[in-house]
Amino acid sequence: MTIIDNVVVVVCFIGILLVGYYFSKTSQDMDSFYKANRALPWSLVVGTLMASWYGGAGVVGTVGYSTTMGFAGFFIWSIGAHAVRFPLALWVAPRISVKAKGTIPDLLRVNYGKFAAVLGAVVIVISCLSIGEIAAVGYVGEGAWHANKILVAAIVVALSIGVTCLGGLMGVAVTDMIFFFLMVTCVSAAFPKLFFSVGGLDGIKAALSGPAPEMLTAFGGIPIPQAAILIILCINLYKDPTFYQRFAAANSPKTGKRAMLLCFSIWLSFDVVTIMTGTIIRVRDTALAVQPEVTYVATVVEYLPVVAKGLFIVGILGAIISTLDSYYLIGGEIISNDIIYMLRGDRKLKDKVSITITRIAAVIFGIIGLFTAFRFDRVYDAYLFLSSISMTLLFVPIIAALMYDGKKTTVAGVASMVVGGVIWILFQYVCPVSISGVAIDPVLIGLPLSFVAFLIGNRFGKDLNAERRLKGL
Amino acid sequence: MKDSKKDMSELTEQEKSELKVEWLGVDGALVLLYIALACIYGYGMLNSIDFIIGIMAPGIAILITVGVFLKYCTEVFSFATGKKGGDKSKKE
Repeated sequence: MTIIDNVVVVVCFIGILLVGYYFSKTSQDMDSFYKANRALPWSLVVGTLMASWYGGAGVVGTVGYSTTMGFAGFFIWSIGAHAVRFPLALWVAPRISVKAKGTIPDLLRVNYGKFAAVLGAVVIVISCLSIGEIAAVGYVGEGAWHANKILVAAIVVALSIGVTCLGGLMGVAVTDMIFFFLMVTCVSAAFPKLFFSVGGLDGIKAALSGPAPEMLTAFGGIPIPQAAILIILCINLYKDPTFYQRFAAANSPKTGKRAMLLCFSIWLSFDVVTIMTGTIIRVRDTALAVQPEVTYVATVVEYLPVVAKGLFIVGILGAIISTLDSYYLIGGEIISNDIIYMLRGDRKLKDKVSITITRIAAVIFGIIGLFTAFRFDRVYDAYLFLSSISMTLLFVPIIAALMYDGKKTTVAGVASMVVGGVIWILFQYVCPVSISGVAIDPVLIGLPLSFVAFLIGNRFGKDLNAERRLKGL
Repeated sequence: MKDSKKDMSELTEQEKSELKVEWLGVDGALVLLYIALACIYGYGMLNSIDFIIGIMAPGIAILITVGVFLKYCTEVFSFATGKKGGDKSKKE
């Protein structure tokens, strides 16, 4: 990185903070701060969905994982991941827009009562720490500047907190749009040169047919149990609080649906870029002697011209910032508007107090995230850990709340969460299961049992859905 | 915020129509685009077609991104010049 590139990075980030500052003047009440007055247009929803999803784990993490998955990363992870999310875009997203205008704990409260809502809120707040993203920052810092990863992560976390605290959802969405543009254009523009430098697909196949031939087949690079886990984790998005926030903030139900449908095509094309980049990294370092995430950033920086290098780093770090600020915002909102609201006996906080609590929560999230992020070997491992536990607990009750209009009881919601959580802890720490040497993620066992617990629990207790209809809520 | 919950039975006609999937319209076209791209990229990867993987995939990602970004810029511009505000108040 030259001095000019570093100046580009600094100028871009000052600009982003100024955008946040601009929106801080217009985001003074809760509806504007948390929901952008429910006025997000289609283009902004595409940008913010794309940037929030494709953070550090999505770009740097996918490159790292693809160094061992190869083509299977595309055929199983990418195609599978997006295919199972089509129902989310087509049917769930519009329903969120008209049915769940608050947060996920709001939805749980209405369908299963207060205890389930508090339990769900706590799980979501933990998943909002986004430790996978913070881990990814460290590798970008190492690859670009050979800098201390914790120092770079601390700077990026501080920037994320700044954007969250200043602009609320509209500030986050607008900065997301800028980062989305820089991330996709810079990462994609750097790719062709890298791709043809190893001789294209023929060069890749020649180089890997000896050391890692399984990477060159559609399903060979991922063991079956791991593939099953990946596909199941793809549905994690169904309970992602940032997506709920975006769909609820869209200016119409169609907006969220069509924004996400377009995102699938961008994601798929961008996945080809990141997955093939991971495969190229393996060609250049078949023994994987250096951390692949670090090699990726260093390689791309080496291939790009001056200024473009700076923009590439802004794009990558921006992807991480846009994911972090999204989670910090929704985590803070859940603490002030759900957890504290319920603990105060359903008394709403004043707008200013609620926003202040969200800002303090964002700072605390950042500090906790920094202390825990570097305890995992790979970026994706940190991401998978949080996804796995939160999905086991929340997936069944959330989908039932949105898609099933029949009887729902407190026992059903609480039982599905408690059983999911207990099973996850049991099979993660007490008696882990493995098939052919590959550890089975507890989500595979926890999810079906959580569903069974929901069905059994739904036989007991009052029908909250019917009660709500009677009250006309 | 807390009193904004609605039951599906209480949705307005407009909201109900917005929940429908237009398979023969924009929704169906976007689903088809994804399927077509998945088939093309998969074919390119397995049959070593460098153009599809090295040029087309990053090119399409950039093209859609630039298109969305420009769309947003035009919306900001029309909002700033007051056009959008007028449209919105008409709609309401």
